[in-house]
Amino acid sequence: MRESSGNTLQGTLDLLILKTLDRGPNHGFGITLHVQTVSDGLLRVEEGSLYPALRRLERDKLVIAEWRVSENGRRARYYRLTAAGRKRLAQAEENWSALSKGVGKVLRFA
Amino acid sequence: MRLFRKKRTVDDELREEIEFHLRMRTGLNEREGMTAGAAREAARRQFGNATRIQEEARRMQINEFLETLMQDLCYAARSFRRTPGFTFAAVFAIALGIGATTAMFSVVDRILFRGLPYAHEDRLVWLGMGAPIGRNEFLLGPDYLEWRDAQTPFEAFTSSHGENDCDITENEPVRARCGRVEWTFLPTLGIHPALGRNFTREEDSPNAPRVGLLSYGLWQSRFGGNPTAIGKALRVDGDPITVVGVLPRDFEMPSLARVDLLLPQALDEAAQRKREIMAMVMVFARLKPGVALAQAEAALQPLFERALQFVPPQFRKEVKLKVSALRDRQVRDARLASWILLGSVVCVLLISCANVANLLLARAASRQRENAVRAAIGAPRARLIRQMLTESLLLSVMGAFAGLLLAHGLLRALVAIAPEGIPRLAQAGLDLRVLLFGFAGSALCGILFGLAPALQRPRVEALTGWRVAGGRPKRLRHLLVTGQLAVSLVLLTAAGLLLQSLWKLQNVRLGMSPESVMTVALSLNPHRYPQPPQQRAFLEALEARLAGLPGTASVAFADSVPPGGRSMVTIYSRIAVEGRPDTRSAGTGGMVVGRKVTPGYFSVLRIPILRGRAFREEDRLSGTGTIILSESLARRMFPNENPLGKRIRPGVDGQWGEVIGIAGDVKNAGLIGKDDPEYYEPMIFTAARGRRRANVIIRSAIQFLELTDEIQSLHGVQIIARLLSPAKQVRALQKLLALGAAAGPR
Repeated sequence: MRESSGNTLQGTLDLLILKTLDRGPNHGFGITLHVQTVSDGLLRVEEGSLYPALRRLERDKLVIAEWRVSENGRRARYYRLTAAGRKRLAQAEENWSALSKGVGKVLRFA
Repeated sequence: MRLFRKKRTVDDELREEIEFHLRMRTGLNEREGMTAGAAREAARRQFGNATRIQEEARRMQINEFLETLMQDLCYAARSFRRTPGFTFAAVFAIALGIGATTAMFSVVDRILFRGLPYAHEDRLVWLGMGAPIGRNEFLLGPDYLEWRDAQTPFEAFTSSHGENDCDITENEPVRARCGRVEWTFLPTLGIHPALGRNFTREEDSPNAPRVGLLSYGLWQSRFGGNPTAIGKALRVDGDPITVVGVLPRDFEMPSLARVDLLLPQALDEAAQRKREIMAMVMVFARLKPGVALAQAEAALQPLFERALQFVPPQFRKEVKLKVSALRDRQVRDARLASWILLGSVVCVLLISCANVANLLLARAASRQRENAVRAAIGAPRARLIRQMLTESLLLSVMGAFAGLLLAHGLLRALVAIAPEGIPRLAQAGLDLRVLLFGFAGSALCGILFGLAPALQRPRVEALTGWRVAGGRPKRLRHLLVTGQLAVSLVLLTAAGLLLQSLWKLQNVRLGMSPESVMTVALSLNPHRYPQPPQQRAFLEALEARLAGLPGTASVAFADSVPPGGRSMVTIYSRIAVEGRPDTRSAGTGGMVVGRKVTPGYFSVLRIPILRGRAFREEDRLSGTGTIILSESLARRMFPNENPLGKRIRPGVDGQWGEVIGIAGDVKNAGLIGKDDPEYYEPMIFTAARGRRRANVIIRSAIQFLELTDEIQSLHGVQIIARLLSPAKQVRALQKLLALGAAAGPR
């Protein structure tokens, strides 16, 4: 259904989510925490975008969700990458590095 | 319901998930030193509007499809409103295509696709001997009985004596059509009476008390659809018959003839087998399952060979065994014509689709920027394609509605202007099936023409505002135009050919002048006018009255009217010439038309008398025997002699007559048929020979509606109602010409 390339802005959040889940299944809160920590607080995933994005990824069968008991004993919805999600991640990473390389060059030049 | 439940669980899951998130965040905040209340509050603030998120997720899950559709539709409607010119042009083009196609489809559907109203209609056949003398194949009574007993390929075998005019003579007399059929007729076709029963074998014998089945229409009009009609008596041509049943509403004769009453044909089988009297019957049969038409024909061949021995020798070569599937036989040449007509309107539809596609492409070019912007702010390509398709489908649905309205009008026009002889035309109408066809056609059309612009990739360059010359859409448009041109050329050629033949028909040399000539077919009630003197008195009074009308130039009677009508047809070899050897064994020599006319006939129709003279009043009264030949008959019969004064006898049982004149040739086998030679005899009223049916031919300046009124008022309306059938045929001869063109010789 959806195009894999183009739509870069929307794609960035997807990339962050997919990359986080690549480390292993996680829940929504874990994803925000991870992105925030790893980026040293530079990037913050907004909850208002995160959950719709997760649903969308789930609908597109890039991730699978299941209820599990979390480390602190509460029920949480865990997301896990599918094969298609992994493939999409590889693509998105490639696109991103190309883009950032390009933008970087332009910035350095100017 | 399930959708609803699914929505509930999705909501619950999301709520639980959000709750989990909030707790985790609250916990984190507390560890950073906030109080419990403040930590919770901060978490909530940071999360934002939970309800909105829930809604967004819900929309994605369930309502996305419908919502997108609505959104697209609204967007499309708005953009159409902004460009009324484009919208009107597109809807108009689609309406034309769909309207024409739907109207034509509803006409040919009955001919080509729809099943006949009989059980196992695919196994029904119409068989018999085909001879040049009649349009319908037939069997002689004794042959039919022999075939019925000896045949093997059919599981049912039945006959019909055909239809004729009959009068229902009660307090409210009407002219009706009576079909006469064998008692096995309805079972063979698999038809059960809507009410009552079929007649029995016993009732289908010569001396049985008479019974009959009413058509649904007659039952409604005569008995108001009352079931007590069963068992009632009805006088048909003065004889009482008992109503035993009512035919189903959709009943039709396999010959497509109209019938109001179905009576037993009551064939006297013993007399038939002795070949004393021989009836001509039409034969219908149902094949046994698994028997092919060709097999059946082969199986009938020996029977045919045997029957051929009884055929007069001059006919033998021209008589053929004909076995055809009922449907093919019913539509005859109409099949090819139907395909051609349907094909040509589909061409029109294709052209209008291409036109709309072109319009949309042009519009898409001007909307490139819009699409590029939408793509740039995140609309996926599929979403854009979907939007375009929704737009074109909306267009085609609007076009379909307009088109179906148009089809309704077109269909009425088609039925009104169509010549007689198109099978099942009267039944054509816009029913559910035709409507579905129309909508399916327009949907297909919509997808076809919507796909072209939708598949164009939005270009980023368009964002700059520069005009982008794309290669692909240009090529597509060229292709569309080329296709349109090709299809139009085909259509144009076909239309040109049609016009040419129409022009030829219009300008065909008739040999007479039909302008301001009217004809009225009438037949007298046999019970009111049983004797020849009464019939003669009526017709003579009518003639005098019509001749005295202001505006009447001349009046004549004839037993048939060219070019289509021919009541007497004989074969050339049966015409004897005095003093010449009998030529009857030398083949048929083709058809010769015979016509009985009053003296005024030639002057009314302006048929020139080339030699000799026309009939005079005394020829009609004396009965000495006078004949006028058409030019072609005279040339053929007397190649090197003067025909005037020769004596000939048309038919073995005919009367010798002296040739007194040669008339110009007249189109007498329909407008498209090859003319047959013709001879005329005076229409004689004597004490012995009466005449119940006649055609009145009038050359008059008055309108033909006034004329019918005049005839109606002739002896007071009440009497006339008995004279002329309710379906009295008054028509200008010029209309008759159109009929002759379609129906050919009858």
